[in-house]
Amino acid sequence: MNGSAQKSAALPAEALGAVALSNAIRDAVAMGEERLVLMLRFSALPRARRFGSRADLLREAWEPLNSTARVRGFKLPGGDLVAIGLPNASEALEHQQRVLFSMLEAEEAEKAVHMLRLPQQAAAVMAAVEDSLGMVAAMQAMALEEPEERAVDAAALASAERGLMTADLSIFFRRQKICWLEPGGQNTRLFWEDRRTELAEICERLLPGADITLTPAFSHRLLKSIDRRQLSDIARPEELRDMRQIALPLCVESLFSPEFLRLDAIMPQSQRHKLIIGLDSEDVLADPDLFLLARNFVQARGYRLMLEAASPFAATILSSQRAGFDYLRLKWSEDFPAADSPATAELCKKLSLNAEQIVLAGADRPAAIAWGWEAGIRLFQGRLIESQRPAA
Amino acid sequence: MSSKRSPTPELQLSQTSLQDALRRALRDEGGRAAVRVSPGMRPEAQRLVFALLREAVDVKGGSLVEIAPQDWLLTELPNFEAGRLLALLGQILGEAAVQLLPLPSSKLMLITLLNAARLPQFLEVPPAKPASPLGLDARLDRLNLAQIFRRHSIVGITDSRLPKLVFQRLGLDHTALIRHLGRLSEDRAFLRHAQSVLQKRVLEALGDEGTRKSLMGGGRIAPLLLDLPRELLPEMPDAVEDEADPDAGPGLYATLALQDAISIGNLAARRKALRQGAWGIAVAGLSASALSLIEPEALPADWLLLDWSPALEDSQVLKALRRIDEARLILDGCDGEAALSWGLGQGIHLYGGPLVEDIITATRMDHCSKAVRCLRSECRARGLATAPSERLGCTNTLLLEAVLPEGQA
Repeated sequence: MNGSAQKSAALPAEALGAVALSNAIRDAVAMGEERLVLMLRFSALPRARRFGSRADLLREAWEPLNSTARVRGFKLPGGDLVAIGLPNASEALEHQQRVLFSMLEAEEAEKAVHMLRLPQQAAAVMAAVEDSLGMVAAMQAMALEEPEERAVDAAALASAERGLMTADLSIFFRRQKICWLEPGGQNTRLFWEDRRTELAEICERLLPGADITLTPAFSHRLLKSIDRRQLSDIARPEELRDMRQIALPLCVESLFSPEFLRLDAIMPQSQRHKLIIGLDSEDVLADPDLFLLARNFVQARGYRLMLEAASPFAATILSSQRAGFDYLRLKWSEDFPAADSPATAELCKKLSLNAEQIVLAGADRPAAIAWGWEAGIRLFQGRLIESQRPAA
Repeated sequence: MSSKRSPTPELQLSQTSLQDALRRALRDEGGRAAVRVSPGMRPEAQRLVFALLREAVDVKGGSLVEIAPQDWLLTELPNFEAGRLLALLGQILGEAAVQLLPLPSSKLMLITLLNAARLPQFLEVPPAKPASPLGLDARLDRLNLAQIFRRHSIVGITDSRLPKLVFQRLGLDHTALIRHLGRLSEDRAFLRHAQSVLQKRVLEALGDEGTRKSLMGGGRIAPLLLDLPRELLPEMPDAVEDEADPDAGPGLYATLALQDAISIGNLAARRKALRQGAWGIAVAGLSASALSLIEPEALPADWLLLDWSPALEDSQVLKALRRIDEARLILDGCDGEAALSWGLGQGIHLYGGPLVEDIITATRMDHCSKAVRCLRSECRARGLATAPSERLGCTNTLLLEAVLPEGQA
């Protein structure tokens, strides 16, 4: 492995610093020994002081303490600096405190520079260590209060599932064309038909006023039920008789459902390549072992697989090629990098797929198609494509 | 019954109909073969393999027999169909999981196998009944965090020196959760929902100083890896300012499951912004199977947690691993010396898992003056505990709180 010899001793220093400091404090307190503790809290300083050259100056000023006799220095996560000294090192520590005060405004120094005594002030020192471990800042960043009343609970899910069993879902099944589209408009032709439902639309009807996206696991459960309905639908003889090439998004688990196994049993071998099964990138990685099993099964049977990547980022992490997919589907959004940007070039390089292997969905606006063409994509799906008249 | 002289022993099964079915399959007629398959533990795989076997039997005859759990037999098929089925099952489960037994030449082997089996029977795999979500909320409400969460430790181990505590991790005990949820846990969606509800509760508990101390066994001493569902990852702070001190690591790492991490399209930007709020990012769940699918080096995370299994030694997986800086890796789930020696061989120096908890317990007891009064299992359980009541009995609480003695740090 590259360079393992040099790196093997490199444990994360600031993590060890926090552990060592809290142990040193505990020991001093347990033994009832006196210690002086000087702290420089970067987190208590205004932003301008915390970063860049002004922060560097403070750190440089601190440096002599690290080589002072009878003083032990610690660096904590977040950058706070702490020194613990024996009582006879008090002169050096007090000198340092004065230096720091002279570098800061009086008000800043009051907040950020502290001299504490152990064992009397152990609690304050420990609180500062905890602070440096990010708990307070982290909790402030959290903002946990969310629209609680709109989340779906188990009882609501159960009733939605009952509703799903009897509801006429056909009005929610959307069919869209996936077309080959070249700049200049030649050779436009229909490749497949995409069939999917929008969970949001179904939930509007089954769970009015609730937001299913707050409970992703419940969304997944509903999707599985919808899959089973879709699969039963496709397994009807009149559907199978003259089946066109269709792309159908499914949950990985749905490939083991009785409905899929039944469809598989009645679908003639010669027809199976017409079914392109779309699997979502998150769903694939939620249980990679199950995905591998499903992939081996459906490919051995002759179906084709399409990776539906949640974003360009997801497509670069989960490589459709390595994972054995025949196609990749990206859904264009405003968040995509600009068409002629280095980020797009980098993305195309990473994906390294042929134009026949990649579908750009969400082609509702010319910008999407422009992006796709720039990226070498020729297969499109979206509202703009619906109005295209394929030559064939 | 035929009284033909034969060197082969008699088939002796208690169930008459099964005995008859097998006798029929073992008749002296060529051009046929039996198919033996081990579908593995996963119910999905079992249902799938059962459906494929049934399909073959419905068309071409033969019977399905369960010699033992996960050891299944299709008694006979014409050679051509048997070969096709074998190839299909081999593609799905791997070559090692299937075996073709030509008939009648494999007769002796089959009789010996069946006579030795404890309780061979006709194979039946009932279709899965979807569990109802009713009762899920009530069960989760009744659940006490301390029953489900454990205080795990990630230690640094370099060459032969003693371990150092580097991170703590409040981890969900999956076995305990599955036990608590009962049948509800059969649906992965419910398990995931339970996980995210509980992770949110832990987060709230950590925000309060009292409950935080009770969960962590005192003040916090090491940076914490905190498992979070993606919906709880803090939003972007309003303004992203210039770089923080590049040497200073965050004190808290949002630990995302791999699928959650890739669902956040702007994870790289979020990570940079969260750094200002003292958060870092870790990605967990990099199993050998996951590594065979992904480009792990592109994950914008401070730490990547590998799930130990011997399958990590696969050459494809090693190739993916080689592209990652090993200083970013934590080998999690270490359950034996093999894990540790593999990890050290790869230049990994951060470890977690049951073996690590064993090592920690042993080291702690070696340094504890009160250790004679305690069993190792007690000390281990108290170290992992997330409630004061479960730490009762320890008379050296300072050491317990510190996880490892300071002499090691």
